[in-house]
Amino acid sequence: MQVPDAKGKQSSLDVELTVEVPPRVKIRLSKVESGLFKRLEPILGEGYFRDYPFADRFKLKKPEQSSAVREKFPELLAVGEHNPVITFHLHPGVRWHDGVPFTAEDVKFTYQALVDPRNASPRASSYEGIKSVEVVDELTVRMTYKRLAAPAIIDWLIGVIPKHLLDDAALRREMSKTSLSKEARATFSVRTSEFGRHPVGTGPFRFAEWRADQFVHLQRNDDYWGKKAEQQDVFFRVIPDYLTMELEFKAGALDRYDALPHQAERLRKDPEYHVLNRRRGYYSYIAYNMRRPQFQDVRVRRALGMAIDVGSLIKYALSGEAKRATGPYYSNTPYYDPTVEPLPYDPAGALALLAEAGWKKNARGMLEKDGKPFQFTLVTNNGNPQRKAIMIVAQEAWRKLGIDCKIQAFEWTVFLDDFVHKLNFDAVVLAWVGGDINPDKYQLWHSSQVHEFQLNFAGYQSQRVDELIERIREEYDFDAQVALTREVHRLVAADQPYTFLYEPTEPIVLDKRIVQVDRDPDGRETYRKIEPLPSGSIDVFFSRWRKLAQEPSYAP
Amino acid sequence: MWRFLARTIVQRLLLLVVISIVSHTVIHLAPGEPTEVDSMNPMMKAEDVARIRKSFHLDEPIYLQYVHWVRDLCTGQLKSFRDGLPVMPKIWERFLNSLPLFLCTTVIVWTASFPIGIQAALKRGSRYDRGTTFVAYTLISIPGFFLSYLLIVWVVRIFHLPVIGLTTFGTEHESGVVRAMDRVWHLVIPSLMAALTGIAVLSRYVRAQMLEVLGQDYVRTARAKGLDEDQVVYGHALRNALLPFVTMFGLLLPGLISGSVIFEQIFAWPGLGLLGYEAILARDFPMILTLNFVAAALTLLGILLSDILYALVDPRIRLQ
Repeated sequence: MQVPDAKGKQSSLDVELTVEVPPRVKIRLSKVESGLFKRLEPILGEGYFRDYPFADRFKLKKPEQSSAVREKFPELLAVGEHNPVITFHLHPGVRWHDGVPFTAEDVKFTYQALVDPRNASPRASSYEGIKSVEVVDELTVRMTYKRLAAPAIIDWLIGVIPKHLLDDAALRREMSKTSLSKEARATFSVRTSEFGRHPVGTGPFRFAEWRADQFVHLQRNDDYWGKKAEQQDVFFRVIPDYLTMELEFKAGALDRYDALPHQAERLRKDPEYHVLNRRRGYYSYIAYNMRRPQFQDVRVRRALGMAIDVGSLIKYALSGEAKRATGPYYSNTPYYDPTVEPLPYDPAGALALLAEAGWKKNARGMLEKDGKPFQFTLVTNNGNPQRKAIMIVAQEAWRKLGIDCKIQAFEWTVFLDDFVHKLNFDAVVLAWVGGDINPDKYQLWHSSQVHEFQLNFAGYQSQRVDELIERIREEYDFDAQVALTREVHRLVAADQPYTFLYEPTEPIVLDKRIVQVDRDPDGRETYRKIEPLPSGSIDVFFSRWRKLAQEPSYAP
Repeated sequence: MWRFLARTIVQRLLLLVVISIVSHTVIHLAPGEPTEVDSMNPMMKAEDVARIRKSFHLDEPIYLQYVHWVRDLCTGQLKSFRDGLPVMPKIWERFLNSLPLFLCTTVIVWTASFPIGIQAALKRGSRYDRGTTFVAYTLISIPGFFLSYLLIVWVVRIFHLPVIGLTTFGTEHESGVVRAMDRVWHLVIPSLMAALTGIAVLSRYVRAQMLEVLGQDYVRTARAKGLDEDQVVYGHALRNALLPFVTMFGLLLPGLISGSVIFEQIFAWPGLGLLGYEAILARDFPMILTLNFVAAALTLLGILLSDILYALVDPRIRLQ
């Protein structure tokens, strides 16, 4: 098992033990009650679950290991075990693109493939919390979890793979058609199957062709169970260079173009196109290493943030294509607290805060405390012009306050290996991407994740935030969960372990003649202009897009 | 002659093995893991990372990883880290894309440089010579990618024609003739741009070499004998001036594998240059090592070819 050593780093330890499992009471509830055991304590006795005598039930082969292993006992013998059950009802009449019906067996197979060590899936540990997946009938799947894990349902957004093409029998059939060495046969798995080159799904488009580094070609699935797509063929083209992408778009060989902010500026003025701003989960920040003495005071961190004019940064470096970020959740999700204001741009206020924290200007105009000047290094990775701009702007802003900040940029993996993972930095410029709808921020903000190679590299430790994060993981009621995440957002924003900078939007340029077609129940078509949804996505109704001969006049 | 060949081939093969060991060590020394091992992804836990590293043999000592690579390469089982596809078929497919571009560029460079260089040498000091010198140095100084961008912008704005890629997108349903012509059109601009610097440099060499040869005694003798100018220049002087270029010709072979990363990126040409570049960025070790190995093998073959050609062409040289 993995146990922490003296330094807190996880290391492997071989342990042999016997467990004596006592008889248990089984309770079946119609909805998840995460507070059940707390409510049982008055009946069973105060601290019944916490103070259970685990040591009596475990016999270790090597008793000297007991101190290292002791904290794992509650995991191994659950005194109060929650087994939340998620039941999925599948849509009837769904077929795979090769005509075979889609059933619950495919879902169960997907789970088995994800956790199968032969497939070496990078997502395997997300499904570790599943106790069992049961096929109730063709269209019903029941998943039982080992413990409360409210965000786990998000893991099921992962695509389902077809059992009839990838189970052991199918893999054997595939192997028999190819000539492989004995070793290759032993390691043949879902990962190495031809399926990866010719995927089969159930969506409105079926896979047609993939030419590596050229394009992926999809065709309309006429057998689709839902609204059939407008487009007959869709091509995703690979064009490595932004400038030639723009020229290809102008030459008419591209219908949709994901532009860079300054390119979108040029095209906004062109009457033929319109520019949509797509927002995805992404925010840029400056992280402070809170283990370093100068960053331990929250007033210092707030002051550093107040000195930077993020508004101008957005206007000039990003052509206005961004919004201020205020905290750890993305603004296009309900978890984000809209009442939290971004830090004001206030260099005078910053100086006042720094003075409060003991940093006064010395004879040379530099800030000093206890005889030591305020000096540190800001590091980021190469190849990213926005990060370079952030570094330069921040350095200059801090210089005006009297802080000596040096800036350095390194190649991405050197930056990660030598600075971030080894926690060997003063401050870094980075960004978090993705995981929009996941409220669980354990890896990023929990105090147990502050060691080397873990993602809470700022070293943020707050008991209240830890409690909230743990409760979020167990809270199945969405509104209650949102209240908890908003409190996390407020607390982290107040503590400023990062200076939260901005959330960029991505400009998508489309020909104005491309519209979204809506069909009302009578079958009549109306055209609607394509706009981003409140979540910031523009692709949800992609299959309804059609290119007309000329721009229509829209219904009011 | 045959003894020479046999001995050289054995020596070169040994050298190839040494090169493969050295390049394997150096590539694994570089910092960074394959991008599948994403350390900044909160969804990937330590166990997942360990599992992936194990399936890529990254935990084993470096000599064992070398053995894995060589064995997989020889049995055709070598798979890329990025998409699990076999490496050699991928390289072959991209090679077939790079080949027309390479051939076209080479043909343009070698057929254009010689007349320009020879004329410049013959009319040394004249306006032609000074003009071509100026143009040559300008082309050498201006980066090729900059000129490429300008040309693409110009063609798209004025002629409204798509320039990038192997073919014009959307022409799959046209007739064979149209598609063939389309492929030729897409070949023209990238090879022209890639050839420009080559012409500039090679024509300088040709000019320098011709000048040196034209100053030799035997040329004066030939003229004194009464031969006409064409005979002197092309029959005697040029033949001798060509000797160093024969050597250069053999060394063109590795150019097949390297492709040109910059031009392939700009023109979205799916060739070997882009393949190698992206393999390096993704730390796709099997792909990088194999490309490196093939490049080394082609280089050594090219040098061997040059040696043989040189011996054939220059009667003063005899292989031992």
